[in-house]
Amino acid sequence: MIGTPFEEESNKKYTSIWNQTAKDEKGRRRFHGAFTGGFSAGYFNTVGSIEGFTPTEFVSSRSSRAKYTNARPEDFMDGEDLNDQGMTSQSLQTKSEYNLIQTSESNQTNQNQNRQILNSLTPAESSIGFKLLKRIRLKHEFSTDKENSDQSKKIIYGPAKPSNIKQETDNQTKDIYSEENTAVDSLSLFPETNQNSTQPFKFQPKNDFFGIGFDPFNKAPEFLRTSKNSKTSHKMFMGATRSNTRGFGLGALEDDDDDDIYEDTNEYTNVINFDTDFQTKSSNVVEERNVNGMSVQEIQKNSGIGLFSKQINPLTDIKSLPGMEEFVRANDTSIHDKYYPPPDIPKHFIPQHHFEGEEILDHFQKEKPIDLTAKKRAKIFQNQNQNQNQNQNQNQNQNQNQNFTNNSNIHNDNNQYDDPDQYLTYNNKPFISNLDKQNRYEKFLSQKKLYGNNFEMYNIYSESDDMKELEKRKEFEEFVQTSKMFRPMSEAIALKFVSKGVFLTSELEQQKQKQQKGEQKGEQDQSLSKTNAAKYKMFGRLTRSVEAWSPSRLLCKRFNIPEPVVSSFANNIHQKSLKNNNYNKIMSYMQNSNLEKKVPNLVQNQKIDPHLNSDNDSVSLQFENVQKPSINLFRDIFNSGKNEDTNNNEEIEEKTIVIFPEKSKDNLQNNLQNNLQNNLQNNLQNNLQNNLQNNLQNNLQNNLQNNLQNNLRNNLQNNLNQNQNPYLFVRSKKRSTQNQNQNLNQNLYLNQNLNQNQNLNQNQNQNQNQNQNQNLNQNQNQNQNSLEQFMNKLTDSINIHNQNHIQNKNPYLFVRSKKRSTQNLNQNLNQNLYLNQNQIQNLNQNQNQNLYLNQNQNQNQNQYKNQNQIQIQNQYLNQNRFKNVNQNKFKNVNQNINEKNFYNDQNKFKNDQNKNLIEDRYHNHHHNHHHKKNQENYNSKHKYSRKHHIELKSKSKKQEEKRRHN
Amino acid sequence: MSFPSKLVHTLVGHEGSVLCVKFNYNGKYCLSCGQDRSVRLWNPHTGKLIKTYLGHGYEIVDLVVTNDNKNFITCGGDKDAYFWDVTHGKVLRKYRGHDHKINTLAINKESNVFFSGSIDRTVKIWDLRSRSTASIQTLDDFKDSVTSIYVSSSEIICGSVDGYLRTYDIRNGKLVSDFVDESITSISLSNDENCVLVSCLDNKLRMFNKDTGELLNEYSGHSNQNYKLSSCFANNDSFVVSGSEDNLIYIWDLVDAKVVNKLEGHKGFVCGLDYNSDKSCLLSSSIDGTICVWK
Repeated sequence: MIGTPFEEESNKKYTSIWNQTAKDEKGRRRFHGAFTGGFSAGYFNTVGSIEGFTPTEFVSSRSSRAKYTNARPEDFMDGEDLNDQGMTSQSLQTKSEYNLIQTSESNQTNQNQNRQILNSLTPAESSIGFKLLKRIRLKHEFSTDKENSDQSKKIIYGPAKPSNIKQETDNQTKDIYSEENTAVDSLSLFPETNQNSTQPFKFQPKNDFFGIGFDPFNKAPEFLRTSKNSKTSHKMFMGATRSNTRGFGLGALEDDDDDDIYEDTNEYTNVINFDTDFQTKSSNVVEERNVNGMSVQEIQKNSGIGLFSKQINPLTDIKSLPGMEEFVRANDTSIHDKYYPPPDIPKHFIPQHHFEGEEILDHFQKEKPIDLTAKKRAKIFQNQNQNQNQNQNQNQNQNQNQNFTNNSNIHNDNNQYDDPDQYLTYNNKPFISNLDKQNRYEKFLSQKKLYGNNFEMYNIYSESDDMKELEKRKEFEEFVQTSKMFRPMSEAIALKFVSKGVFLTSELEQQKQKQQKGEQKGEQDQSLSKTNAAKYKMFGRLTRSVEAWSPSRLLCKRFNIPEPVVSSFANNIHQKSLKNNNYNKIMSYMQNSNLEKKVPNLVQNQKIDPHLNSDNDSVSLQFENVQKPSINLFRDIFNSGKNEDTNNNEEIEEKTIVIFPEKSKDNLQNNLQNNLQNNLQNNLQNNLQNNLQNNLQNNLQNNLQNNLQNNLRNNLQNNLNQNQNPYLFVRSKKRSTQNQNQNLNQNLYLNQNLNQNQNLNQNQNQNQNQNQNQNLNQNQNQNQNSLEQFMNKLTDSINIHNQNHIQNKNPYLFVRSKKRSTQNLNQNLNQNLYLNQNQIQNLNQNQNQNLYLNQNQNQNQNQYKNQNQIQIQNQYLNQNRFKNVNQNKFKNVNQNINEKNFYNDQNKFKNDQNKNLIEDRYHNHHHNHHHKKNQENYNSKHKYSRKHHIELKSKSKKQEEKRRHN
Repeated sequence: MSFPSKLVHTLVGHEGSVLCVKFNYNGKYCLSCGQDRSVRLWNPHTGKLIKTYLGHGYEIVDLVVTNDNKNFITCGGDKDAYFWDVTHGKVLRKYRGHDHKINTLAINKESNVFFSGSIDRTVKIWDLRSRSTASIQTLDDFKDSVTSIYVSSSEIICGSVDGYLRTYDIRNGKLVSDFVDESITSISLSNDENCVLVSCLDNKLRMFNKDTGELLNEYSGHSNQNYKLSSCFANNDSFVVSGSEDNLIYIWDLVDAKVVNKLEGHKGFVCGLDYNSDKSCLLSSSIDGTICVWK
């Protein structure tokens, strides 16, 4: 029978394709699903059975341990594999053709092993006779490879031999032993030496990095030959042999669809007995492979040469390769990219950009280091510092500028210093809220630079600005005012210097130039004055500045010096102003006076009368009952020690002496705080309760909130400002932040008190308003005022306390032992006093100036200055130093004052500084005249140590004598 | 009242300019250092070279000797201060911390703390007694390179190129800065430590009263505009000596401020000076690589 018979159609009914189902031979439905379907599994594609899913019983692995079993290939095969493919355990046997020794499976392996052992015992190198035979090119007779019998003599399968071995075999120059030695190592795979009898068994390590079963030369056997290196070829050979063994399936990513995985599934033997059969099989495998439809042997026949028997260079003899006949070897093998030549550079071109106005630097000249003198460097450093400080100083400068309005107004005509750029460089944009206005203002400034004071020439309004003439005029005046107001700080100082007439005009010009360059910091003004002093050899006080400095503990230890606790700078001040001790007086007064009793009285009266609104008479009565604070109180607070009666002074001082040793700083503070807190809080609460009953409830709440916020802010500012006051202390950077935090906390705490006070005041104010509405008489008002004043003083005293407390916290003034605390307090106060004395003088001057100016200026300005005055006075009150307080003005003090205090502090400081500087200068100038006069004689006026002085004198005398002798 | 006028020895051996020469504590020997990265120990009275210390990687600018004459400290372009052992010639420690070349060194009288002033605008204080090589304290008030330091019993006086003479008073915890307006290159104090002699880069020496900062005298005549030359008091404070950029050594009378003598002998400008009052011996080192011993 030829061919396969058709299946009997009669049995089969035609079913349409979509009704056809794939079934295996047992009739089980093979595929499910709409398209390709999945394999059937379980019961209707569930894991369970028809009975349902039954989980396996739990078996404790404790009792029955898992046993290790040798897995066989069959274990990984299912019934289909085993039965359908006809593979049973029995069928897994080495093919007879590969079973060289013709033994049964078990015997074969054993004997193989035995042989291996035997082989390993025999010497690896062949006998000398064998070698001799080999040398005369007689093939040894031990080859059992029948298939290779004839061809293997001529044709060697596999990759090219290593070149050195080839040469040896060809030339026969080297001695036998060396040849053989090399051959043993690497040529075990070559059929030449492929002798089972002598060859020891070798496991072939997997040297390549291919996946198992991957054949790099699967469809490109040409490359097998191109590899020259024996090692790589060896690898490839290995790969090639294995690739044919298959059996491991196709990789998921392999797109080699043509490969039929199951092509030779029956050759599992290859895999299983791979290692043992390898040596014999290898040649066969190569032989059997199909390369482009031709067997290797065919290829060899076609090309007419043994592939590797001759030395063949596949590159040169590429034509000889199959399928390459039509190719011609290129003469020029080098690869050229497209080349674009660079553009031609003109000869005169200098490869360096130079900006206009800049000289072309010579190439060599540029490489030289810039010759920086010390002065140039100092300038650079100054600029650096400027930039750093600029941001910090900006706000301050603005404020200062505002405060110097009055001063700059004096020099109204002196417009030669007006440089509009200065105004803008400081980011002084007073009309930043209105951009159009700001632009006009800048225009105004630029024109001011051009025309100066010729205001008729100005043209800052374009047609687009639709403003009335009156508005324009108003705005213009405003611009004029602001341009004066936002005058840079140092200019004002410079002008002050001019007025004193100390400097020569040339220096003034220098200063002016420097100002125009933008050197306008207060520090630089100091350094300016210092340079001038140095120029005139007025070294000493003018050129000297003293700061606090804390040496490290270890340094002091090494120098055998106790660590300095209090800065000497502070000590000096302490000594200077030891006599003026007002803080003690205040404190003693707080302690001893009836203050504590008075305040409750005040509120008790209010308590009696809950309905403030309804009952006018009771209110009036209430205030009549209040005692007027004694005159002594005011005297103590407002009068300085000089004006006081001696008796009073003594009394108070006695009191202080008693109090202070007992009460430490903390106690004092606690007293104050407790007093104020307890009393005032109670009062406040009571007050509030009373008032809550009234219709004023909402008002109060609003006011309270406002007050709290304002006061907090202002006081914080004030206190921070005080901390920043450089005149008082210089402190280390490390501690300053800590200190500030402390201060802040304290401020918050104290501010509560303050607020309470003020709230109290406000209540009174409200009362006052009501009373006014209901026609209270003047006496009541007076009483009230006095009360207000009293309360204000209270707050002031707290302010002072606050300040002092902050100063106490200053790291350089910090005194650890309680013993010193009083001293320290005194000291702090004294510092205040010392500073305030200067301030008083200075501010008096300011006031005079202000008053003088007031005559010339319009009402608005007057008002502004009045405010200033009030502020200043308020400040004095804060410090308890002002001598002649116009008490009536005190009524006008608003809450705004607190805001302005900030500026005033700045103002005060600067004025103070200026004045001191001027005084110093003046003083020193005279002093220096003396110095010059006396310098020849070395008079003792110069504090030059007497000892030394005498020495010098004697020396000079002796020298004079010598000269006379000569 | 005599001042050195006779050239006794010329010490030749350095291969580059000799930047500093110092007597040891008793004045018997002297150490010199310079551009050739070596420190040399001489006997100035015989003019013989005793030992050469090698180890620095850059030029050595300054050195100080401890009071027991066992160790000395050098500094220079290495940014480190090297602590040497005199007899073995080995570097025992290196004090690291400056960001730039160290200009000057000073040591206190007990030799347990030394100071280094650098181009990085700081003075660092180092402890010689403890094992830590970290500096005790850094003085960073300077606005420019620190060129000279003098340490008295309770004060550190530093001169800087920014033109300030800063006195750190350890006892009182204050920093007194005197503005001189000219770059200071060298500081030396009189024996009673009341007068500060300051070399400035405007061809002048200035003498200040240390306590008040007042100018006592000015010495001029020499030229010093570009380089760090040293100056010192001589002979019980009766004279003032300074090197000059015209290769001479100038000696002024302290009181008259008149040039008393000019010592001629160097072929380059004189940058290092040291005076030993006990032996009334003056050492001068010069750019020309020689050290002259004057008596």
